[in-house]
Amino acid sequence: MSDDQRLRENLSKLRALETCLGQHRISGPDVRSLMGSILREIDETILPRKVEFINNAGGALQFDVAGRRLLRVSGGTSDEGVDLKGELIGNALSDIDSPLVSALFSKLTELLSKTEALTVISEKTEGETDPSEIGCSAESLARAWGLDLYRTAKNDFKDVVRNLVTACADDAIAWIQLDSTKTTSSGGDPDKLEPLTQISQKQIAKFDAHLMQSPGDQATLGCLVLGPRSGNSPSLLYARYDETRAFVIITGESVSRVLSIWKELCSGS
Amino acid sequence: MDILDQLTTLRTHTPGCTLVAFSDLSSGVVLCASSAVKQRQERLDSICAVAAELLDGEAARIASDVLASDESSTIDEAVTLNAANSRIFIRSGQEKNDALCCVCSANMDINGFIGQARVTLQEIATNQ
Repeated sequence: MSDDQRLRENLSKLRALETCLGQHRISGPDVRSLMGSILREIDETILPRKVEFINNAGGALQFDVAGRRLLRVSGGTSDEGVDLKGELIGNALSDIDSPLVSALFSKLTELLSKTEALTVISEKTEGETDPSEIGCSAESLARAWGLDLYRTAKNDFKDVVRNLVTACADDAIAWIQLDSTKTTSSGGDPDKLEPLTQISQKQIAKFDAHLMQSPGDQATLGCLVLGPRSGNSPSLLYARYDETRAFVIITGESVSRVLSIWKELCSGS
Repeated sequence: MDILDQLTTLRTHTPGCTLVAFSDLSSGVVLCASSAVKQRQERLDSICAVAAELLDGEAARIASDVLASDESSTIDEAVTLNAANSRIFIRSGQEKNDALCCVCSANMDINGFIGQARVTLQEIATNQ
């Protein structure tokens, strides 16, 4: 091998190494776990950088990040390779309650729903960051989306439905708890159990649909309460995490308390 | 005070509330909406469709059948909570086809908000 060839090979190896330094992989068992990893990437980014997350199908989202805050979604492509368009792309984030934050949640859910790993590419951003752009902190995004930045979501939520049923046992007129479509426990007024079983066998998809943000979402954590005007009449509660679900008929006066319990369980507090 | 002002008062007095829409459930039309940022018509149509389904549609019928006691029960309130937000749908006590559709943060005080929303619905019905 000539000196010239040896030099070319070494240069090629150095270029490959340089690429690897700005790239790494993150993985997780589900959407929420991956979303938590993305937020941790943001939380660990101090200097202005462009960070791109690419799923196994080639779908991607690019973020402008600085000071542990997400400034904006600067671009992205769908799994089919089509450039993403719409209000989310290019507009500065600042208000955690803005529809842009909800839109980002939907877009991330879409990106993460069919993958268990992401390639992360991080590059320095040229030029100064506009000081008027405050963005949203990773912590506030985690709070808004019910994630704990410092814990593994899968472990936090796996018992959330069971814990809810246990916590509202005194307020429940009847309940049925399911793992996938199999009943794992039930109790309360026997006359009410039959209709609850019927719903759980035939109508689950309808209830799941209402936990989604938008069509196509893979919302696996949520609850829904339907009832007459607040007061003494009972309400129907449906709660879900992953394949664990529960239908509970709760007394009218306990709706508020049960919803508070759900929120506490989901916030991990 | 017109309807938009009433909706805006409800929204701005509730931390984390981004949208309050006054809708006609029978026609599936948002009649008036107050929002922190401009909302696309498709989003308003979509949230009104969810309200119609949860308060008057198949989901409401299923829930009503399960809850049914001697008195016929209609579904007047629906709340969905997920990681991103709370969505609250409340039927007017005066006009059965009128409803408020609200989008708020996930950690808001739902019970307090429903009470305020009911006052707003009553004021709208009184002024109509």
